[in-house]
Amino acid sequence: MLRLILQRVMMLVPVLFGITILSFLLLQVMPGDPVEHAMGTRASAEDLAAMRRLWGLDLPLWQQYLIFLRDCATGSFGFSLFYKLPVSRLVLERLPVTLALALYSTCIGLAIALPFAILAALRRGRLADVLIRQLFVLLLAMPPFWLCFVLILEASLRLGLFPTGGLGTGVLQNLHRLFLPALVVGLSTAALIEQSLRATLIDTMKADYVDTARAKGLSASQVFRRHILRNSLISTISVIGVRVSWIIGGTVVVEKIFAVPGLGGLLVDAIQARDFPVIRGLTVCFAVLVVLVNLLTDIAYALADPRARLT
Amino acid sequence: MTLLEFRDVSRHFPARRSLADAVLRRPPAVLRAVHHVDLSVDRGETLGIVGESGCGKSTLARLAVGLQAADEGAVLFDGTPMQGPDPAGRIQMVFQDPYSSLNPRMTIGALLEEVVAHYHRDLSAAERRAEAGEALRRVGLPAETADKYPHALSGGQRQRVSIARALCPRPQILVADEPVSALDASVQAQIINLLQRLSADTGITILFISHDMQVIRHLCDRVAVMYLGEVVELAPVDRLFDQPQHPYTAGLMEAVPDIARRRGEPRVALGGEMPDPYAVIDGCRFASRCRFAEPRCETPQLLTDAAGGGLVRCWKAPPLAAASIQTSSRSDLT
Repeated sequence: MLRLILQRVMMLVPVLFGITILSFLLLQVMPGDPVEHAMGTRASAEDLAAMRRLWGLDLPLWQQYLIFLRDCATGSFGFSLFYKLPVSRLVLERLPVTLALALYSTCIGLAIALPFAILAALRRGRLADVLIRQLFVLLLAMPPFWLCFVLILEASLRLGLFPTGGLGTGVLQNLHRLFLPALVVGLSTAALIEQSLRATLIDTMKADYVDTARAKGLSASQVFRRHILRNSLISTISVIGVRVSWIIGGTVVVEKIFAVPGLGGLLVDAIQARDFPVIRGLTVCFAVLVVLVNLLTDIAYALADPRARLT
Repeated sequence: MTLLEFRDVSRHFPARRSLADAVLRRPPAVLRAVHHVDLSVDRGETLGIVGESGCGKSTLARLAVGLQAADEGAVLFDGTPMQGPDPAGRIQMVFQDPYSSLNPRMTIGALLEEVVAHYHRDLSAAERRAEAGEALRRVGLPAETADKYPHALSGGQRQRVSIARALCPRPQILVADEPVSALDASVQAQIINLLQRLSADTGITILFISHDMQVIRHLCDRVAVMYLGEVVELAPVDRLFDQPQHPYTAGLMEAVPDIARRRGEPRVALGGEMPDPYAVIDGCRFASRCRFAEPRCETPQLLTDAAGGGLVRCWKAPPLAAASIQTSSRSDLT
C-alpha cells in the first residue's frame, strides 16, 4: 500500500512538469494581453512597457518558467496580477468550498441513486424499471444551468426554503446554503451511479455464488445485502472516482449561478482577466487533485475487492 | 428407506415471448425441463443422474434443494413436501463451477462461518471459527485455507471448499451438480474419492449428477438416465452397465471411450441432435434418434419393471421372462 502511494506521488512529478509547460505555452498563444486588459485602451506604449517589465512579462519564456518554478518552490505559486495576493492563498481559500461541494453532491447522488438502482434491478423489465430509467435519462439530459434557475425560482424565491446563493458560516448553515448547488451536481451523479449500479446488480444476481448463498438457506434479504449489493457496490467506487475528478474543476456554471466561491469560478475569472499566475496555479492544483482522487479510488477499490492487487 | 422423493414432478419454462407472439395470440412455447419425474432416493445411497446437456438433470438438482419450485407434483423430504431451501439445511448442494460459485469478496473462513452462524446462532465467534476449521479438515484442506480468498485457490481446492460449505449444516443429503466436470482429470479423481469417503464414513445420501458414465459407474449405487426431461431408465449400477435396456442408455454406453476396444471394431454412437425441446411429443421422446423406432413408439411410453431389476421406459425392452436373451445386449445393438 505504502509503495503504491509513493509510486503515485512520484508519478506526479513528470505529470506536473508536463502540465506546467503545456499551460505556459497555451497561455502564450492565447489571444489577449493581461497588461492591456489591466491598463485599458488609452494607456501609452511606455506605460504598457513599464507594466510589462514590472510583471516580468518582458522576459524570455524560459526565464518566466524558471521564475514560476522558483515561486512554486517557495509555496506562493506566484502572485495574482489582479488580486495582488499569492496564488496559493487564493486557491486554498476556495479549495475547501469545492471539495465540500464535491463531497456533498456525491453523498446526495448516492442517497438518490441507491434506492432507485435497487428497485430498478429487483423489478427489471417491469414498469418501475422503465420509469426509473426514463427519469434518470431525463435528469442527465437536463442542462444544469436550467435546473439551477428552476430550483432558484421555485425553491428559493417562491417557497423560500433555501437562499439563492452564497456561503454562510458553520457546517450546518453551509449544508443548508450549499444544498441547491449540491443537488444540481448530485442529480447527474445520481443518474450515472444508478445506471451502472443497476447493470451491475442485475449481473451479480445471476452469479453462481448467489445461488450458492440461496442454497445455504439464507433469506432473500440476507442474500441481497451480503452477496449481491456488497459485491455490486465495487463498480460504484470507480464511477464516483471519475465523477469527483470531474466535479473539482467542472462545476463552473453551478458555482457562478449560486455565487459559490469555488475553484471553477476562480478559473473562469482568471481566464477572463488573463491572470496568468492564477491560471497556472489552478492547473497545477487540478492536476494534483485528479491524481489524488484516482489514488484514493484505487485504494478504496483494493480495500473493497480482494482480487484487485495494488501494483 | 426413502429419504427424498420426487413425486410426479414437472418444471416447465415458458420461452420469451415477443410482441408479435402476443399480438398473434400464439400459444406460449414451453420448455419441459423436467416432465413428470417420479424418483426416490434412499437413505445412505448414492444415486446418479446421467444424461446429455439439456436433459433436465440440473433442473432436477435445483428442484431437489428448493432453488426452484415444481410447477406440478412435489418434492418430499422424509415424507413432507419441501417449499424453498430447507430451513434446517438438511439438504445441501455442491455446484458445478468452483470458480463462480464462491463469493469472490469473502474469505473461505467468512463463507463457512456465515453458514455456521446461520444454522447455529448460539455459537460464539471462536466456536464458529472452530466449526469452519473442522469443515475444512473433513474435506482435507489445511486450517489456514480459512484466511484465503477464493482466487488464491485452485479449482480442486475450491470444489473442496464448496463441499465443506455444503457439509457445514450437517445435511442428510448432498446434491452434487456435475461437481467434477470443470476440473482436471487427476483432480476429478480426488474429489470423487472424497465424496466416496464421505459417503462411507458418514453414511450421507448423495444425489450425484453427471454426464460422465465412468464417474457414475465408479461412485453410484443406482443410476437414473434422463432424456429430455424424463427418466428413461433407472437401475442398480451393475445392471445398468452390464445390461442397458433402453436404447438411449445403450447409446450412452457406446459413447464411453474404451481403451480395450479394437481398432476397426464398429462403434455405434448416438446419431443426430436432441430434438427441439420446445416441441411437445406424446410418444417416446427418444424415437427421433432411435434406430429401433417403430410406429408404436408414437404412443406414450411408461416406466415399467425391467429385466434384471430397475425400470425402463421402452416397450421394446425385454420383459422379465426374456431377460436371458438380453444378456449380450451390446452385441445385439451393433
